[in-house]
Amino acid sequence: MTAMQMGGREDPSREPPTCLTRAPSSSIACVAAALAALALSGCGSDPETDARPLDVVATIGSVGIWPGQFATPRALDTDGSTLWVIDKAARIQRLDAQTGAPLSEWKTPRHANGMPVGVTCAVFDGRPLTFVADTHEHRVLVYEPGSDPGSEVRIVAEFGSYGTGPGQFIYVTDVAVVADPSLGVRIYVSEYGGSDRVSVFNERFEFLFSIGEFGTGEDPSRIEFNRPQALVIDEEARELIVVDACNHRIGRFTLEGELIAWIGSPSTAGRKLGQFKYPYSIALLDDGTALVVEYENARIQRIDMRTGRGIRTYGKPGRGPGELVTPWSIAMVGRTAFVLDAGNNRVQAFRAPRPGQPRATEVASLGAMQAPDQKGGR
Amino acid sequence: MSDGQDQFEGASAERAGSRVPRFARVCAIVLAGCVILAVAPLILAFIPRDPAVGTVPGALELILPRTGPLVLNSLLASAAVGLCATGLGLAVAWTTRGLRGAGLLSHMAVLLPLMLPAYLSYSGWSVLRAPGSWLGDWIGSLPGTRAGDVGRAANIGFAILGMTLWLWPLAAVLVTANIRRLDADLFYMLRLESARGPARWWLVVRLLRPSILLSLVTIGILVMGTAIPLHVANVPTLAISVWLALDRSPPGEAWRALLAAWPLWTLAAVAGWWLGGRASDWATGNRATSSSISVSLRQSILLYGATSLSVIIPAALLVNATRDSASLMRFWRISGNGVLHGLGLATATGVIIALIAIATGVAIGSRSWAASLGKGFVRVMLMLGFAPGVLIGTGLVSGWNRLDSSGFVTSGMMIEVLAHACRFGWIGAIAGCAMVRMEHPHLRDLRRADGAETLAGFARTGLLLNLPILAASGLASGMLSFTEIEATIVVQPPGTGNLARQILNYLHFARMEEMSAAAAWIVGSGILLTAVIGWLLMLAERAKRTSGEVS
Repeated sequence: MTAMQMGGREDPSREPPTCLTRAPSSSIACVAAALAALALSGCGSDPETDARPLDVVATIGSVGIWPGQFATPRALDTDGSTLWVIDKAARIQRLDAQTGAPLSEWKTPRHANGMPVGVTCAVFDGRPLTFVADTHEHRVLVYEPGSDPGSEVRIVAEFGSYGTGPGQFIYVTDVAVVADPSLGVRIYVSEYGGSDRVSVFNERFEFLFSIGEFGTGEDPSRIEFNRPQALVIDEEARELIVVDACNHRIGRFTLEGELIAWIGSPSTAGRKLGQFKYPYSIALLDDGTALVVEYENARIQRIDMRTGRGIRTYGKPGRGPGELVTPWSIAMVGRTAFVLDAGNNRVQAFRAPRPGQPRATEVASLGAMQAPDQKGGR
Repeated sequence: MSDGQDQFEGASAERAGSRVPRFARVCAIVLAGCVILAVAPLILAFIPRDPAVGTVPGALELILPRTGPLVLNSLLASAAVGLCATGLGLAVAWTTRGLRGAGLLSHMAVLLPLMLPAYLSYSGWSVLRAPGSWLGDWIGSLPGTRAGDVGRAANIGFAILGMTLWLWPLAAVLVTANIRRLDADLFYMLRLESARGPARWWLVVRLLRPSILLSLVTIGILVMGTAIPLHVANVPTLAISVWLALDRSPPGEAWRALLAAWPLWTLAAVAGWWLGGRASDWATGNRATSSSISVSLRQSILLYGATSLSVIIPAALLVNATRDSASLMRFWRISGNGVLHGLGLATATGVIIALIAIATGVAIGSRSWAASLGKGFVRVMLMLGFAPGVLIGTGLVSGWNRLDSSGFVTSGMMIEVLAHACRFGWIGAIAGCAMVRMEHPHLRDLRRADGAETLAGFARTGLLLNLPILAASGLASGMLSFTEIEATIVVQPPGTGNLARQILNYLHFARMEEMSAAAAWIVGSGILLTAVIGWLLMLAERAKRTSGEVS
């Protein structure tokens, strides 16, 4: 069954007011949107970051609590064909990644203390599973979706409890799963709230070890985190990537938790190219680069994961098409990047840069850096 | 004096009274313009833009479910904070004998908690409940749902404590005004003759009943509209739910949530109207004479203790929670732009409030329709002051979006300044009333007789006399504007670095390191600026006494 066939509902009253909106194509609309965005931002473009709206191919959702709408969405991931979005109404929604149509929605079992801020789709033991970082309930929920995206999902496991001991959590932020040929299944869970670290579990959800501790990251030789907001696995490089949001940096680690390098630092936090201000999420591209979502800078920055240099930024603050307000997360389906534009209550999709073939403007902004195709992609 | 001469002077005064000086007329018109700028968009925001949009069935019920329990929660929180804050304020005011003969430190002690943001005490004391603390870990270790229940109870307790420690000075000020009208000998008589313990306090409560009731109502209404501490404590109240509903309302649907907040609007309107009337009467009423009683350090211990609980200890807890002293300097790198933007906004707000104070004072100090208009303006500003910031912000944005499709007003700092002027216009209005009260009636008559009712005349006489009170009102409103969150985050264009938004993020996402650094700088600068305001108020009191002596 194709994604298109799965989408849509017969009851028109259940259709969201705005499901999937194509970006304006006419030049007049683009100019008007750009002018409006300029006025909204209250400042001109930044030559260093080339602040322009995203080249949006689709917009999914709008503000509201109907199916397909979002009330401050704060978690996004994809299983390849559907998007999983969690908002501040504690709703988990599955949407068709092709059409944006809502497929199913439900709420977490308990949410009086707060809502989840992380979701991760993974194949676990041959089964597709989704891990929800149930932040304020100090645990990870594991959902098993049915074969049909519109069918019921069920919780097959949960692990973690409140505390700072081994296997316990304060506020869980994200989960990353890897099935490594030599190490086996590893589940990495990040948390904040004073016990900021990444805990590592095996396939039976048994605690193995933890990486790092709370710290303000002044000493780059130490593994310190201040709200590790997102995790991602670079399977080819066998690396764990940790987005250390409040230290304004990204950490590269071996799967055993040894520090390889930091990209960015607390002392260089800012909005210039190569700097971050509250990075919140990351998506790895095939050519050794990555797209980093910056919450405070309201943009996406493409960086070279090996050298740490910034290549280009995408997006700018605003409410118009391609503009962002407190973006929270990013997920890739093929070459399409879906950005969780939390402050605008929507998901915006744009074409990720072609691997190894940077555009003319990108080459210009690279300066002395090697172009990705010259380094050899992964 | 003959009857004929009396009649002549009476007729002359009547003619003089019917002719409003041009400067007063201009001031009154400016005030009317301010009301139109503020109120017209708010009214417009209540009108559905597209009637068809309003037909979505159950739209509001979905985003703002069951307002009954929310109103009950709001009332309970208001009653709890009202009672606690009034009790503490009463105790402070009484033991310091109404702050007669108070010095700079006493002025600062009363002003400081009010000048600092509502969330400071709450976030400071909440360090004791944070994960990793003894209380936080104990709550977290409780089994299952019990941890949630106890945690919520602790959150509510800290929120009520935080708001009590923020608002007690307001109660102290209101009760002090009552105490100052009492005969000074009463204190000695009570000490000598009245019963001890609870019986004595009951006597005090009965004696000060009007101001206690006023304090309960005022604080209760402010708590009804205050969102941040209760929001961070995860307590569902009407103000917070309306805020969330506004946040989740599709464009053009905000009017539903604004209408659903009718209890908050009604309370603000009634309280503003009533208190505005009283403020105007106070401005033009008889000047009470108060005898001076020196207050010993022992008597002031409760005052300084309460201020320490409100500001010093929470700030110390926050600074102590800072794990790396470098965070204090990193604050400027992370939040520097936000601070600069906040300072610009605060300066603009302060200047506007000072101008509003001048216009209000001149209008009320004149006669005829200008004075009536000035008094009406005071009522309107107090109404807006009592309304929750998020309602003011959303109403202004919705209204201005319809009035100004080009986005000239809403796309820059103008809408922020407008929102803050609405939020803190009451300070200008009250300062205007104080200006009128400062000037002895005889001195005012002399000024009128000399023809000093022009702008130049005012600059040479009234402005000089009232400079301290004008500067204090501008500084106070600027300080409040600097840390205002509710209206700011609603009206602020995206991408604007603003301290208020950053602080809300620090609170919301428990970024204690950044919050601690921000609190340290805010409290530090707050103490300095409050000292300046206290000094200006003392100058104003001295000027008032001088004004009385001259006359």
